[in-house]
Amino acid sequence: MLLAVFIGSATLIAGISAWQLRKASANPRTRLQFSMALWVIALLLPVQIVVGDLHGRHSLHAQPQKVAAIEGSWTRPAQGAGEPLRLFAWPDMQERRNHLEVAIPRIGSLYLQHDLTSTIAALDEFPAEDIPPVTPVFFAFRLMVGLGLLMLGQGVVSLILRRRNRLYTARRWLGACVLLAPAGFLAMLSGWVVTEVGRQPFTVYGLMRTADSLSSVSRAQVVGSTWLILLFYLLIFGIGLWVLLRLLREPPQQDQPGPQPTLGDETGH
Amino acid sequence: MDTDWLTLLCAAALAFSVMNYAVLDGTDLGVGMLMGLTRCSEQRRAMAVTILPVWDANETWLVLGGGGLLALFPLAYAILLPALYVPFIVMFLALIARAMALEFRDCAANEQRKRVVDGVLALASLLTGFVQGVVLGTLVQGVAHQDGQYIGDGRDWLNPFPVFCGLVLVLGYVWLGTCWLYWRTLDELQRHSARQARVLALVVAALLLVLIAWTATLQPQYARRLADIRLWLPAGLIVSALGWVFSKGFHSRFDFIPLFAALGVFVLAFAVMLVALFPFIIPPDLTLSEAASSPNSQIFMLIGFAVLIPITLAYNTFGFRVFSGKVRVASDG
Repeated sequence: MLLAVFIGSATLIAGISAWQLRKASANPRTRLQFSMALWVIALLLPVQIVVGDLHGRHSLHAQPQKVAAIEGSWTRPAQGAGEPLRLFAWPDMQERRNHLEVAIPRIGSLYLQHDLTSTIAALDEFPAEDIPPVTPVFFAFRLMVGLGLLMLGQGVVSLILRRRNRLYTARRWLGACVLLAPAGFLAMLSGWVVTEVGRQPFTVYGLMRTADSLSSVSRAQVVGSTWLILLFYLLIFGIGLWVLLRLLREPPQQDQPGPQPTLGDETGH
Repeated sequence: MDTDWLTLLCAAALAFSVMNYAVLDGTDLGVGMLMGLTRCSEQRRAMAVTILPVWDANETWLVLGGGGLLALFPLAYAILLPALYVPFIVMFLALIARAMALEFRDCAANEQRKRVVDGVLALASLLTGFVQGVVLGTLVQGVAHQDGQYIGDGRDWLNPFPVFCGLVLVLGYVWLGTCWLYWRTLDELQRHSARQARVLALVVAALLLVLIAWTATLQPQYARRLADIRLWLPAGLIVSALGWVFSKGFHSRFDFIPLFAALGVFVLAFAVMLVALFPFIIPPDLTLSEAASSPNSQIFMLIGFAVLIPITLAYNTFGFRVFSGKVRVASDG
């Protein structure tokens, strides 16, 4: 999570710096923030992938249904055949199988078990009432990994452009960085969906089911408060994002005042 | 009483957090409410500047209190939160609105918009303080439960007693706010705050007396405890002493004295409430021991509290020391 937070902030900063550089590519402060953000991406993304792999191996051991749902694996492949890497599929909870599956054989075993032949527990090995909704977990995981690979690519390209001294000027590269600005946060949210939806139907895995952890608050109150919170957040964070983007649009200038320039004097210090 | 010492320690840690929250954030909520009462924009800015550096540290105690209740007395949490679902949601949304209004009021483009932002700030502070009083009132009034589940309709708080408690707490917070402003400001605003603080002291004292009398009618235990000379005699003596200090404080060199006397009254009122409730965490029948978590969780949490409480106290104190000077607002920023 800590790594993800760094990376999320780094893609955002790289994105807004790229936006500023497209207008004023000579500003030294913008260049500095762009460079720092890209160093973070280039250095931390490989670490994040290694940590993610360890995390996945832990989940395989601790919550096997989650990994089976991530893989969209309904039945275990034959002995020695290895797990495929499913690039796309439409999981069907009723028929308990995938439609439109596009997969590469054996590659799944490579990242799941670090060989080409082992398999993992499939969804049909668990009672039907104990598996999570497969579709959101399956797609959220692919979104997360896809964005992760894009950011890895961003880090690699940044190193190449840095060597060629075109880091601050290549227009299409800057445009791509702007597009990737929300990538880190989107990946984080997708990972959250994988974790939370993938653990269903349990609140505490194996101990307490979500249906049993319901409180006595009435349905009307929950629905009402959820709408209220959603509207409120939309308003507050909408205004917040608008203010933030307005501030970030302009490149930083020399001798810029801080957010509360007079506060120190006013409070007697 | 067969409450074991570990549970007592947990109750003390929780009570300490909640009390700290009430007196610390209560003060800046009071200032927030006062900002809705003045037309002068320079005074409003001065008021905002006095609480701007410290309000968020004050709210740390709310997190400690809420987290502590969940981990130390899960049964009480499971009953109270559903019973007070609507007020709590309102309070948290109001706290968010308040935080945003306070932090970003200087970003408002013109005077008119700033007035709207300050209106939001005052209204949200009022709602927050009112809800906190309602919550305490509902707790004292008692919450119906069965097998560790809340069994009411979620409207227990919509009764005269909790609503009256909300009113008392709002006026109490405003009183703390005026004392705070007397300490932290100068000139006209300071003089005005002193006048308000004196009047409010009498109002709050009268309301507290009504509150105590009303509380005594709710449960036989409350009446017994509150009528016990071992409670009301020391409490009465302390309040008289605090009242004397409060009125003398306005003539001393130390402008913080009235605030500290007012805080003392708050702490005392809170303590009296705890004495009336003990050994129950949710009247009329859920005791601290019944609601407590397992000794393992208690010890785990208490170790956490033993680390967090000194740290929180230290940075609160540091914050107040750094920003203890008089606020001088040059111009409306």
